[in-house]
Amino acid sequence: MLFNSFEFILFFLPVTVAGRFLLNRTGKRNLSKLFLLLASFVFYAWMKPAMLAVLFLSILINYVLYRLLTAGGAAKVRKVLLACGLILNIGALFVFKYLDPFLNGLNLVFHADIPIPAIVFPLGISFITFRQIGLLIDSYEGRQGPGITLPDLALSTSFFCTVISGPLMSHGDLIAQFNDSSRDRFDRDCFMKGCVAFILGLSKKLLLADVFGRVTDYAWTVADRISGIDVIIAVFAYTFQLYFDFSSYSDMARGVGRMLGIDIPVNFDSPMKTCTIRDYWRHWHMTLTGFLTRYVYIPLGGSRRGNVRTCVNILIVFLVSGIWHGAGLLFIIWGLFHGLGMIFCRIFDKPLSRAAARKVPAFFLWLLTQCYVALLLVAFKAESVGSAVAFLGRLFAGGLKNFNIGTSLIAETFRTKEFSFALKVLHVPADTGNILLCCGYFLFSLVTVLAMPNVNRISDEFKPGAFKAVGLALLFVWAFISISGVSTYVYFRF
Amino acid sequence: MYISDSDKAENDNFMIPGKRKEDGVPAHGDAVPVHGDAVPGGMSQGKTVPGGGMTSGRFLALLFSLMAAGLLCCALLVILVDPFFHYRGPNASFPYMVNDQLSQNPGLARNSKYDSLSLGSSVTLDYDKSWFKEIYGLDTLKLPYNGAYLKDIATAMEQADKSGNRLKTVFIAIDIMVAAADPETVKYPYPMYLYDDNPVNDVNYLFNKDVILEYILKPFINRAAATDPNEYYSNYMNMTYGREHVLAGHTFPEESGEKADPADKRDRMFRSVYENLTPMLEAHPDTRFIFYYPARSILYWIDSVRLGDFDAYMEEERALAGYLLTFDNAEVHFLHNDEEVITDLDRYTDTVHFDRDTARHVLEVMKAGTYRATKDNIEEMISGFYEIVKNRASDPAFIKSLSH
Repeated sequence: MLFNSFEFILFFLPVTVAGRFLLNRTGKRNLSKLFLLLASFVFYAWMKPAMLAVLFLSILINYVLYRLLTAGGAAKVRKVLLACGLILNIGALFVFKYLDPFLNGLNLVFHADIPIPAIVFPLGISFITFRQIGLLIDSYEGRQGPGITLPDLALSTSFFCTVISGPLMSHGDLIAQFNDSSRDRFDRDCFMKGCVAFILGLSKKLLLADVFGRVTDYAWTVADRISGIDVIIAVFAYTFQLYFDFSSYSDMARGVGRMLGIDIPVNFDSPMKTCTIRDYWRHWHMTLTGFLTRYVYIPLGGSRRGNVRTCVNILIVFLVSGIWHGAGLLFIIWGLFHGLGMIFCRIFDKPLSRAAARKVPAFFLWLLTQCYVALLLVAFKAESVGSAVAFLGRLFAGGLKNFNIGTSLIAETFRTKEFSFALKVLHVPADTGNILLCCGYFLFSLVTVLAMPNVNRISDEFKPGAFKAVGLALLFVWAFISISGVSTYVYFRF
Repeated sequence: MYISDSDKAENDNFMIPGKRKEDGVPAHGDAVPVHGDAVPGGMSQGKTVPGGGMTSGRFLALLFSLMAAGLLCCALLVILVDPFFHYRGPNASFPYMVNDQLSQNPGLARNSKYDSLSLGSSVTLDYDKSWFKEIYGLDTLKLPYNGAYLKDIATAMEQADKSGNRLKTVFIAIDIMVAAADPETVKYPYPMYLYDDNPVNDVNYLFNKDVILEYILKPFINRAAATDPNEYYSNYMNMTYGREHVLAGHTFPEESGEKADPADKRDRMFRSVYENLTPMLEAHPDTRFIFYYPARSILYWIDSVRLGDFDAYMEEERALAGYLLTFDNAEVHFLHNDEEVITDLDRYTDTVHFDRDTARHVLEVMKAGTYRATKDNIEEMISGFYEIVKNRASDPAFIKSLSH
């Protein structure tokens, strides 16, 4: 089920919120947790019920391993148990996510004809697997005690706010909140702030991310004949799409969590405001960064083994991040370049910090960083290294005249129904209207991400008022009637 | 509660040399604050907001009332105008824009008054409703689906059956090139909320920006955007016709060494025919079904000869015509045998689609029965068409005259 669907907004969300608090009022929290668990299963199985089997297996196997790891025993046995857990979880991730491209690659390289099994891709498998791995490592290292029950782990794993696209929240954190009696009562302030985050996230997804998504999709379908200006538009449109898409999901997850009295960690903290790659990763997909820091970087030795080893560790972390995001050379290249960017920032930490503290150099740093990030994101959209290079190569095809926005092939795709309608009423010619809309969307998005507080902050610091209610209601209605026929989340494939 | 190993992580974090907290957002790796913790904007049980004149309860009441009112307005507008005719037929006073077959066909089929239907692919788009009246004396509803498969035709008929109208005649254009597809194949997926009887999924229609802006407000403000009730779905006004235009957009395909297997195609076609056409013929014994093979241009057929499909198509046409004519309520017309039409490229916009005059001509020819097949003349029809196409396909001078 999608957050931006009629069934979620009109049925699932109100029933789940009402059910949780009504059952809590009976004083039987376990009943309320069981209700949340069943609701989460329904949410997860909505599109493909078969996916539940994978979820159940993951919960059961990891629970058994968790119990064994927290039961004490010989260090050797515990090590073997952890190794089994890691192999099983990473193996599952490999089968569901990487087997298909791996076999395809083998067939291509060796001209073989290995049959490729048709495997249903379980939504959120990367997030589920990483969370389970986190639990096992924490249990092995003694950071997680033995108090987690099977129903608690089932609820934490399948909790509908986080199961499909994160944030990557540790089971311990989430379970502690489910068992916290101070969260059992309905809290109007929390609910209000949750509503604000949800409405803003929903609007961001439907009114911005999907428009940029349409532009990007079209640009790639006509990639062989677009001009330089189109490449620039497409590259930055994809950057905005990905940011609005993924952060809107996190906003909505956080909003729904709040409505239920559960705090979900912040996953995006205005990454487009950052001036260096290091800063960017402190603000982009923060829970993944935290996971990789804790479970990959630190075990590798972190920064304690000299500069060279630190740089190698950073590269390894970003290679893992690249592979986590997807199979194929492109994702490895993407990870590698981000790793190199991080190393660069580490080496030149002092001059970069000094530059970032002054306005003009900070602006150029910001521009450089955001362009670097945007260019690397082409790896997420391209089918192959060749197509990525060919796409970017169009930047230089045709010389300067190809940078005239009037010749843009893809500006037309910014014509959303509402603005197309408005331009018609205002008798603005089609070509002018397209350029206006293209520039307007980018300008609005830039102002939104640079000059305004992010959704986390707006909802956290929200003070109620009548005008705000009118504005939010208008945004909600506008977003709600935009649901029909919109795309799915880009991050679902991760 | 789970306590993170943040001390260790803080000093050894490749992102954060000296951990900072900005904007009141908990830094990554922090333990999540518990209920009631002093986090800016965090959870509190207070019902009023300091410094604000409005309580959260009143704000929520106002917000939800406004949201409900807004959604109610949208739904009422859609129900009132009903541009997809989901609840009732066209209202003469509203300037409807009728151009979305997938969305508007089912409502038109269920809620209009008519005594005959025209079904088929894009070659049936440009019929004028009034011609059916003039030529056949029938009040006809067009339900075309671009690139229609047999399943699309059966779906349109299924929707029409829900109307309760007594059908005198059903005109069905058969595109033989897609007849062998899987019985369940449709050209484009349907918006099922407009096809099924489930009132719950009507939310997709009632709260739909495209419906409100494009199909209610646009024709309401700009009446010129409305569709003439005689010309639902017509497309001729957007097309350029003529030999030069057709030839400019056409390239002869390379001759394929392979030929489609006629017997295999025929057998696959019948699987679809038995599921999609037979039931409608049997369920409407009092309805006259007029099947026809549309008058695609000679270019199309020469291309199919070169691609190795032509013989298979002819076998399918022969077998299908023979089968359909076993029903007392069916007739079949081989309109592509109209040599004068299919060789006159000035009538076409591409290799398939003809102009409006030809569309009318097609109806007149069917009425006259000029190319009507009977059990006895099917072979004659097929061989006649073979001759038209094969002669031209093998005539280098003719091919050269069509090359640009």
